[in-house]
Amino acid sequence: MNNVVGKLLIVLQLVFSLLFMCFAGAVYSFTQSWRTKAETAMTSVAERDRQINELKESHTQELDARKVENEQLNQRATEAEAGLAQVQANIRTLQGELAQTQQQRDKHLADLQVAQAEADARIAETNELRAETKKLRDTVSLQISEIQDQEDRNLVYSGLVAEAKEREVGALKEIGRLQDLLRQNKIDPRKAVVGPVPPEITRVEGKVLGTKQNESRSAELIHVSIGRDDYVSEDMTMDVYRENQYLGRIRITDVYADSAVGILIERTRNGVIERGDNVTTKL
Amino acid sequence: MSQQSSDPTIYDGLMFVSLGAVIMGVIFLCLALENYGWSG
Repeated sequence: MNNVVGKLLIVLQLVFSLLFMCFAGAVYSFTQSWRTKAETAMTSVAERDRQINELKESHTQELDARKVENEQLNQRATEAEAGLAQVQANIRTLQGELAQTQQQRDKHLADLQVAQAEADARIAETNELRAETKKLRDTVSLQISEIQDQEDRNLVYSGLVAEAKEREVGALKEIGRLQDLLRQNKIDPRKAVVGPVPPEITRVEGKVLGTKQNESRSAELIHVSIGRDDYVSEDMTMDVYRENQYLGRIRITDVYADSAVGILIERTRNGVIERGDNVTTKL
Repeated sequence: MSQQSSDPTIYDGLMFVSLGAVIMGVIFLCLALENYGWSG
């Protein structure tokens, strides 16, 4: 029995000894690789931790930067919202002003149309007035020309009237002289004429033969080509003219058979009398 | 007194092998602990 137990114990001892040897050998065999792996893993873990820390630090910095940027962006967003609100308010204000301006514009357009119509009417009226003014100016011009013609006629008539008055005065003087002559010769003018009557002085025309100043140069002497043969007598007046121009009147002072000399009446002078001008007893 | 045989048996061999295995195990264990610096 003891032998059997001893044998079993020996066998067990052998088995456990072999197991111990195997485990110890296995531990020794794999320890080296495990340690290397562990160190490598620890190194890797440390590297990873360092990277993680760096990443965390950078992430923290970036996060801080993002926070600051976010705050700035929030501030800018707030300011932008405030600005947007102000801009919207301004837009509403401007829209209101635009509506008012459009109303005023419409009103002004309506006023402008009315004013345009009125201006057109005024223009038409002005054109009519201009045409009427032109007619009136033409009429005025025509009337002015007529007035000038009338004034010219009046001037001519005034000259004729003055001449007629002068003739009247001369005729009255002549009548007085003739009456004196009749009284001196004791002839009654109311009696009938008895005997031959000298011919009536008719229209006689001649030429100016020359002109000359008197000695005192106070009067101009005119020598004419008609004389006593043409019934020219002293104190007779003659008119001198050249074509259609009246030059003046002369009073005969000396009478010859076929010529006479007269003095130019200065107040009737109307030009320079020259040789060859016409002279007549009646115009 | 009985005469005991002095011839080694198989069990003696097994004991010897077991001792050798133990010694080898101890050696391996020491080598393993040496790698860890005896600090476990």
